[in-house]
Amino acid sequence: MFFERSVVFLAILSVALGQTDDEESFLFVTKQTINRFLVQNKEFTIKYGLYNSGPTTVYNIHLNDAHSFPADQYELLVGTLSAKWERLNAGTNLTHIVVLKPKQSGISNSTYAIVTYQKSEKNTDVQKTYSSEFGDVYIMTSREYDRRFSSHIIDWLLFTAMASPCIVFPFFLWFKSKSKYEALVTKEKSSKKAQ
Amino acid sequence: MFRLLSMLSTILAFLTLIILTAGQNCESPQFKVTTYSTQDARLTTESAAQLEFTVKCKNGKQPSNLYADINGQIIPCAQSVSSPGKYYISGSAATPKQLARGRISVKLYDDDSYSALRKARADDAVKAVKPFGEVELICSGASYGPWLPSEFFAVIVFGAIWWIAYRERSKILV
Repeated sequence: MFFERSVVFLAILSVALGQTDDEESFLFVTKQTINRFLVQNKEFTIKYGLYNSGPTTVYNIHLNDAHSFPADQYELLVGTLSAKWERLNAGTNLTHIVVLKPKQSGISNSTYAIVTYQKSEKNTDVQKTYSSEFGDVYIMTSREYDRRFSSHIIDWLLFTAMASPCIVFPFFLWFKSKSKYEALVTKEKSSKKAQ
Repeated sequence: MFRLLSMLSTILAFLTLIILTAGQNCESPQFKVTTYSTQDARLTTESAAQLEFTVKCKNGKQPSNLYADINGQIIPCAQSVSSPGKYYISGSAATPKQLARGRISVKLYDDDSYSALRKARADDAVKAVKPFGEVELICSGASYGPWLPSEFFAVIVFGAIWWIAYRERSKILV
């Protein structure tokens, strides 16, 4: 009897203590790329989404992703890889866009971004969370991309230049003989008329 | 003695009032804006746009926080950690139509106007809140590549050449 009661008491106690505090919110961070293809020396756009799930506001949010994209492999075009926001209200979300330019081709590994925030304005305890990651990505060379997507106008002009001897030379022969024949025909006609 | 003290205290109070209010707000801000929007729509699945701007105030103060009104939603602007004074507003659109070619005006609010905005309930009161400033997002529109592919023109040109030759040949052969 006593054993059962103590077990029940312990169970209630563990549930009560194990429940997360209703007053705190948690920040989810997603990191994804909106590119279909990653091409060397072309824009590489990354979208960070920060979602505040929970009933309270989070404060002093810092996003740091400089370690995922070292400066020797990526050039920063637009945005910043370390950003901060003062607050994010409950139930709202934020988007942050960064545009990079990959300098090298090949397989590149990217890790998660680190986000720190405070759960309340007074309490300066910093909570650290990690974003999602998109893992290994293949950056194709600009030649591969051009083969599929460029406008190929230069290729066609070169082709025309190379094919033109095959077309112009027979045309020239035909034109020469045609004009000679027509000259003969008009000569005959005029001589016939004269007769 | 007492009168001197009271005079001094009033002067001090007055001075602190001036210092407190003069330092807080950013007067007549000037914005320097660079905008970016996705150029190549074949390379990306969504269109993204970003506004980067710096604020210059007449009294040299920087606003501590800025909020932007995007499509009716007020979101805080990101600030750069490495270079303070730069603010960023980003957004992405699933369909390129939402970020079509043109200009989108974005209203900015600082702490005071933001709290006034949150207090305002009715639509008129919301509209009456004076924003801190306004910046424009210039979208250049994302391109899908050339309208007519170069192969189309190649086919037309070589087809015309073939047709002329065929016509002349059939004149001779007949």
